[in-house]
Amino acid sequence: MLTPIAKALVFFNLLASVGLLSWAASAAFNRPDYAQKPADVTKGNEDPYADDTDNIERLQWKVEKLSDAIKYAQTGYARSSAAASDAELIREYRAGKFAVKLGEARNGAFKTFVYLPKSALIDVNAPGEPVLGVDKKPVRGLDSVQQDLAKSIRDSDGFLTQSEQRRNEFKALALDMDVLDAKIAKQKDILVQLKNEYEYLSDRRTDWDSQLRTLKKRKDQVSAVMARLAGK
Amino acid sequence: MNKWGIGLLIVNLLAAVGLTYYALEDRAKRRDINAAVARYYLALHGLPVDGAKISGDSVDIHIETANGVPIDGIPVKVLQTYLDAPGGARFGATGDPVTTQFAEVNRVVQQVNAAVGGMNTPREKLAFLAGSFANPGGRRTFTPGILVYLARNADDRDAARELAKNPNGENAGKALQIFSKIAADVTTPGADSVVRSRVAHFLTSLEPTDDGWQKRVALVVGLRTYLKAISEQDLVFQDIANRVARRYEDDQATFVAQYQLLTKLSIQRSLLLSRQEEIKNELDVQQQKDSELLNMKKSSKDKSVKIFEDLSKEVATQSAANAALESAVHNSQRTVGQLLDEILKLEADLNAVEQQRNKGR
Repeated sequence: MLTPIAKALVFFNLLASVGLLSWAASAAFNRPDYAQKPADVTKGNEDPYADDTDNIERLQWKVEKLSDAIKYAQTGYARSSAAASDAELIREYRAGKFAVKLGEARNGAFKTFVYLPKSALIDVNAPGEPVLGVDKKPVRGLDSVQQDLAKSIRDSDGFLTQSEQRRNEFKALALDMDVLDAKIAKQKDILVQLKNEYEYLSDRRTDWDSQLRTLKKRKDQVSAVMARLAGK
Repeated sequence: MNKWGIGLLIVNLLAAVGLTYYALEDRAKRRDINAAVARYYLALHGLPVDGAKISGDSVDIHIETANGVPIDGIPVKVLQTYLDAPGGARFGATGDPVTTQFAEVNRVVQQVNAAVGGMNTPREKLAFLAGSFANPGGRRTFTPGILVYLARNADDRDAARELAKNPNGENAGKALQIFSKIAADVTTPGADSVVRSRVAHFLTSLEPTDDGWQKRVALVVGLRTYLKAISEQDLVFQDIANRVARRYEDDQATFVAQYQLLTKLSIQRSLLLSRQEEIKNELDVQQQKDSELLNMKKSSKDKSVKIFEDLSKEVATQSAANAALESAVHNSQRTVGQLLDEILKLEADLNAVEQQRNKGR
């Protein structure tokens, strides 16, 4: 005969056995594929973007494949980033060179373009040949020509002004000369008249001197007669 | 209890102990496997965008697994092990691990603001936020900053580079404003994939050249989103590089047009200058002729003045001579008059004497 304790233990044992059997059956039939995977799945055909497994090895493969892809992507990222920066720096460098060439085109001289081999782009570092004008001479920078043109126009205006001033002075001198010539003519007339007057006065003086001598003789004669008469 | 009962009891107890041990061992292995699966899922998908918090020793992260058995919550230690990437010198993390992507964004935004606040000059701030130019050995270089890496298109990138070209306080303020706006946009609610993509782009662009930081970003946003983010930005960079390269030709076309216009204008002006020089020379010759004529006229006037002065002197001399002569004539006349008076008187006296003599006879 079993004791009540033994009965209870048997009953407990039975319950535990049924529970463990149920758990074991559940684990067996609902077994997650942590370790098991289909035979046809390999790392090569593993899709890293599909959430289709809890298999540790396949998850590892997905991570490894993504990590490999990331390495390539990072290389591409770095290369593209550097390419963008290089392209921008090259563009700025070319823009700077173009600005220098435009400056030369204003204040220096024009040069022909030299193109990079097998490219439509100008070699901004090549010096180029001088561009010749219609006179077969190098075409000078626009601003230099403009400055010379402005100076030439100023000089021309200056020459015109000088000519005008000299012509005005010439006119004033001509007027002065007319007045002076008239004065000279008058002076000449006056001188002629004075000379004529001088001749006239000389003649008159001669007459008067002659008359004076005659009168002195007459006086001497009268005085002599008076003296003779008074003497007797 | 008989001997059989005691024997069965002992066997039963031993079996129970063995089963208990086996169950505990199995539970520990299952937790390890769950943790491993959780780490792989985190590696593939990244941290939750928002909402996950640490409570006690676990993080309330919910992961839907492929077998339909979700993982609700992972130990903090698992997250710490997973995020075993401090993130480099500049944006490194210390203390409790972040549990969400937004938490990581907010953490680095605070670090950026703190770093900018600690910088003394606008040049430093702009070098950090937008980038910096240098000329080592005469060769111009550009070190991109955060905004240049963050730029999604050529215009945004150009704007950031323009800020870097003039490192002043105003531009530093603008750069920080732009960064703050981008950071605020990152955490704006939206579709899960869109938000994840935004976060990944933001975090990767903060310091793309630091491997430590990139490793941390990959763990935070997940390998798939990280790969997608840098691949997309790679294409953006390629597009920017291609656009810039195409602008070489546009720049050149503009330059050539300007250069040719200047050439044409210069040739035209040179011809004008040539004609103007001829006119100038003619005017120069004319003004020299005018000068010669003027000088001749001046010389002629000087001669006339001399003539006039000589005549005037001669007139004056002649006039004086005439006056002297006239005075001499007047003197002769006066003397003649006096002589006449004397003679008349003598004759009168003589007549008187003769009359007296006649009376005397």
